[in-house]
Amino acid sequence: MVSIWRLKKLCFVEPVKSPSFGFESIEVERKVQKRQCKEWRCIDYWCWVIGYMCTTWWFLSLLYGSLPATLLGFEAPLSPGVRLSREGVTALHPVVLVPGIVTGGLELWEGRSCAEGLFRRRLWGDGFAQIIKRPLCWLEHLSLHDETGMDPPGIRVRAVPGFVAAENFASGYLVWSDLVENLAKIGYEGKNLYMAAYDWRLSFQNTEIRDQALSRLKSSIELMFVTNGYKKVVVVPQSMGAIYFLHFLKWVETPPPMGGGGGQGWCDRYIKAIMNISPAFLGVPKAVSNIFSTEGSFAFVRAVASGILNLDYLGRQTLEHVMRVFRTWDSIISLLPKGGETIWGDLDWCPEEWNNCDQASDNTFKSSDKQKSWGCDSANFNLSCEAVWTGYDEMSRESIQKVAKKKAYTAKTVFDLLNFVAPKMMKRAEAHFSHGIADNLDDPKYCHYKYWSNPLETKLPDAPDMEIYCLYAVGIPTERSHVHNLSPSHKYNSLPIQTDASSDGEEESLLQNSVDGDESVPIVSSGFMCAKGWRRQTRFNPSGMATYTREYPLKQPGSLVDRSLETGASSNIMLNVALIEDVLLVAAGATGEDIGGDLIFSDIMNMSQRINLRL
Amino acid sequence: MSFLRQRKATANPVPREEEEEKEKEKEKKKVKAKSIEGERIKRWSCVDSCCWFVGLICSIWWFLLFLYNAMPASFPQYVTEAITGPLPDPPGVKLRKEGLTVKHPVVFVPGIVTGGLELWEGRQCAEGLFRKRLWGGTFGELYKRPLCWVEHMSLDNETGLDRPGIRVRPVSGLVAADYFAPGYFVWAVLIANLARIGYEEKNMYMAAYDWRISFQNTEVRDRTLSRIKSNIELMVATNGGNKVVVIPHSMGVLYFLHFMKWVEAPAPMGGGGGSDWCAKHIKAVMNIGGPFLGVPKSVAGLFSIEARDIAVARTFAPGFLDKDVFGLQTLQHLMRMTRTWDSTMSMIPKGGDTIWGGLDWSPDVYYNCSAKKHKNNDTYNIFQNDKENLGFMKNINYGRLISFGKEIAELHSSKFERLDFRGALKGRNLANTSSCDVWTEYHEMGVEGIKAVTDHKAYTADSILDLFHFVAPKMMKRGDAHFSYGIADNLDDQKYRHYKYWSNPLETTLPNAPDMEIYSMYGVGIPTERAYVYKFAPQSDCHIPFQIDTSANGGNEHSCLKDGVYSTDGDETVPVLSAGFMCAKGWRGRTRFNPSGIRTFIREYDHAPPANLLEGRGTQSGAHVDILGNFALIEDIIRVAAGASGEDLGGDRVHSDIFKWSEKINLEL
Repeated sequence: MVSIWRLKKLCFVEPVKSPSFGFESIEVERKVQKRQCKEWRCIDYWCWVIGYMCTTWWFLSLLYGSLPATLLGFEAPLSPGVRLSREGVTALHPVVLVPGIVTGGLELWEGRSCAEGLFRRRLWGDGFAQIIKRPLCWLEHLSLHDETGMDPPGIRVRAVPGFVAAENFASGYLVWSDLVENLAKIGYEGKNLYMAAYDWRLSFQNTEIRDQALSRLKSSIELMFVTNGYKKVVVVPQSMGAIYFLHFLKWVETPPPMGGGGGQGWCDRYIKAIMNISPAFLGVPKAVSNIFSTEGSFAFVRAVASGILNLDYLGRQTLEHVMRVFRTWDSIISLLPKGGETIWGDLDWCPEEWNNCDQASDNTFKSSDKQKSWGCDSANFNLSCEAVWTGYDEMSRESIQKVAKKKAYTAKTVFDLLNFVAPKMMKRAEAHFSHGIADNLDDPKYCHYKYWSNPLETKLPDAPDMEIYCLYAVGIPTERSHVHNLSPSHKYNSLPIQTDASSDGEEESLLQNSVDGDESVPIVSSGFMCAKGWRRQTRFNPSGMATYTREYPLKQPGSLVDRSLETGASSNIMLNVALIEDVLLVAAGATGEDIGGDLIFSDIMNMSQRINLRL
Repeated sequence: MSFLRQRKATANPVPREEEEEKEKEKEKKKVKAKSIEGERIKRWSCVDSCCWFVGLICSIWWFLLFLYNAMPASFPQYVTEAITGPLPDPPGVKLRKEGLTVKHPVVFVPGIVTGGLELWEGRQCAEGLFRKRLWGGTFGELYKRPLCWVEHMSLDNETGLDRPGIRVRPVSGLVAADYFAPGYFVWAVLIANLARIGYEEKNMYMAAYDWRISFQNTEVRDRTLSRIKSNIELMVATNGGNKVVVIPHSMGVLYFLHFMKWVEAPAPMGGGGGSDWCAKHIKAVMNIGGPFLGVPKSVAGLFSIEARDIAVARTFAPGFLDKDVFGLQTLQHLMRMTRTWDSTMSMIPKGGDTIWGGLDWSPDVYYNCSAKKHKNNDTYNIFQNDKENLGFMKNINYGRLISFGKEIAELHSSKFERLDFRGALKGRNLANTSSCDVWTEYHEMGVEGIKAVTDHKAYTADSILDLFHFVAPKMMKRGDAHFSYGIADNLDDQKYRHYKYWSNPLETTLPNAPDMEIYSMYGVGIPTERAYVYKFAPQSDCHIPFQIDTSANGGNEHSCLKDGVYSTDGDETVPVLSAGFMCAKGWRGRTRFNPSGIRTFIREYDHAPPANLLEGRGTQSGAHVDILGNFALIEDIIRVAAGASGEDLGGDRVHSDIFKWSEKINLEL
């Protein structure tokens, strides 16, 4: 700053001083100074500012680097790994991590000519530099084939294997790295820690058909079991990984043509516990763009998904392009809500009774009379369909009106809606996923793989010693239902039904009703199975394996300092100290009883009571 | 003040003289003012111009970075083509046009030093490096905290395993060894070409292992061998029962030899795969630059941590390496570190005098050690016409891997006498060992010990082992538990079931797999270190007492003795003899080392340096690592992976005299 002042003085103050001199001298001096100032102004000044900032930055970062952590006032809390290892906790059971949707990296193995030079570079994860450079090319390579749901000809995009896969998503945001680091502190390393990376765009059975991902997972689990002194593995799936692993459990015991041929008792022999982190067992009533923003660690994708994409980036209808890509991803359909009205409620009732919920509905009445939403659940899931929309172009304006006129959709009718607006996608989806509730689980039709990932249509394996944990966050309002307006835009090629407030500032077009949850998955979805569906010996859980529900209250994402510094309760569950501790303890041999059984803050138990499901 | 005075001056009418005086004063003021301003500008410049400079550099940097990012990816290729003319199609593209597709899964086994290592648990000084690469990549940590780096890379001196509190583990996956450092490819070119015909992660597997520890210890500590076994089984099962093609490189060749014995050995010591595991799972082993019988380079490396490169650097910049750089005894630190790595001992020359030659004979006689190519006819003529040269050539005694002094190296063995060092007493410590930060075993030898070593004058492959036992007993104790360097008399002897023999091709039999094929692929045409001339370096206490005598040079420019190093034909690291002998003779046909008659093929690739800088490391290189980018070699590999057999490739492809040399080796088969 001092030097800026000096510069100013040089240019302005001096001429004022000079009237005392003779006229000519003033002129001369002015000229001289003017020249100097001018020279300084243009480029040099710019350089100077940049240089000043750089130098200051370096200096500060140097200072920061040399400061011992304790001097900063707050002592960095001991990481749970260090603390537990001091208490004598060491690695015992091998650990398998199963990432969820969008958290795994994808890389290019074969591409069209526009993707030249990108061989084995990340298309997904790690900076997303390619989106900005060549957005259309990027979208083309990430989309799958419209009919088969597999690779389009000439393009091979594969999951990045190993620990790099889901560890740092969009560099800087931690998904798994915190957990991995803490596991390493108590002695885990490559031989007893495995990241089951898979291509999260494909439907689950297709990951086996194309990449043999399930076979690999099976073989790795068997290998780790043997090489670690015949200790069963602890599996830690997250969000969609939970249903992927559910699929695996059924697959591995099914005989070869369709399954892995592990035989009855495979799970009992190899698996000690499944610790589902914010599992999406019953689906996620949420926009895919929102799934992105939470799971994929917020900021970047949110910026990409809602900021850039909503603008007509470079004059192209980016959003539409993105939708077209999303709807080729089968896995998204696995996240549609399961169990229909029994679980999610119908027009007039819903299992949750939460304060926010009522308020939100009140608001709905007041502010929008175009569409009325009843109860908690009425207008939901348009978002999910919107994300995977196909046939808007083919739909006439009238049919759009019709969709809008019906006004409210429940978990059941939303499928009719989807079948109506996106027939192609739903045809593909029905071959791979099912979203109902089984009446008779012994029906031979339930041997088909499309039922495997739905906890309401499969039985858990016969493994009485296995434990299932549902670990999830509570305390953050989670979207549960959505109120949609017909977008007044007259651009016919834009999406006719807008849900996102930020995309359309003309009127308040989005109202969402929120319930308790962890920002993306509501607690009904993540908690119900452990709280009621599988609790003790039910028809879904014939061998009566133990289930535990553990909730972790989170703070609203607030200040920046919040990031895991204070109490460990941060905005991201993967950084939650209590959760990491639980995982470490179980991996080191503790049972659910040892870590304290259930840990409940929400009224999930009451909620589950209200759900009328035959067990 | 002056301002006021001035005003007064102009306000009041003043006499002329005064006015003149005022004028003068004014002039003075003006000058003064100017000088003040000048000073100001100058003061400004000292900090601000610094800022300005930094800013300028930053801005230019950003601008260039922006340009670089905006540049289309094909631009460098375009430039290259504009200068050198169109490049040939990479083999992957070419073979794809021929219709080749994926058939056999491929397993890569990287060699020493090319695999990445990352930190899983470290001491205080390595905080924040969790899962960062310590080896491979940019080596940033080596510069930032060298002592910490050395500490973490070293292993325990007694056990050869981790030191307490430190866990450094191999990176897994293809990323482990595709690039060694940014831009320096190892496997990347081969991987890219395989991907062109349809390979991907599910049918390519990088068998990354910790190359610092002995082969059996990788299983004991990391379960690496079990992983390789399980992965091969998985790949065979998921690829429709097609057997795998294994591609080991450099030390990976020995590692895989060990693996093949391990997997068939019964469970407590081995993998329990049964005696037909290899026959069931392996189609071909395509060894690239394999040091089957060891490399002489490792002798110099272990003895005094120098090879030609370091020795030459020492002559160019005397004092740099010997001086304590930053107050650290660089070489000693390196030596201490590398001596804790058991794997380096796997490459000590094997087979003793039978293979490597005795004091006065050696199987390989090389006649062209100039850097020029064979193709150069002049060179040939010189050798054919110049009797003197031939006479001189006869004097080379490659068998003496280490000789003290150039005269010794050239004299016939009857003309000098050697004193046995084995019984020599190791003296008390050299003075002041405690003052040395770095401990090397030399300090325990004492003056007498060192003298005894030099008095022995010349060492052959057999006596080298004794020498190592003498100068580094602790290291060799570890080494003896894991490696063996002899030749088996009776392969059925029970003792050969121990794992320490598994990586020595002269002490094991190949598995019973008559359909398997073994290839030996290596570069030729580059002078390769074969023997050394040493000198005693009487320096201060903390130094390594022996050095390569870089002043020892041959008579003319074609001489094979250069800077104290005798060279022979090879790929710059592995001499032809070591890479080719087993496939040329030891395993050829049905021998006692190859009871089931596995077919062997030799494929040599003549070295041609890259035509210009833009070509990078060349597409016809024969150098030890660069050969992985050799188009001919890649083509051979792809053909085999796509289903071809050795005969389809054209059988042997030989440029060197390997068959002639193998004849001279008198080994019972």
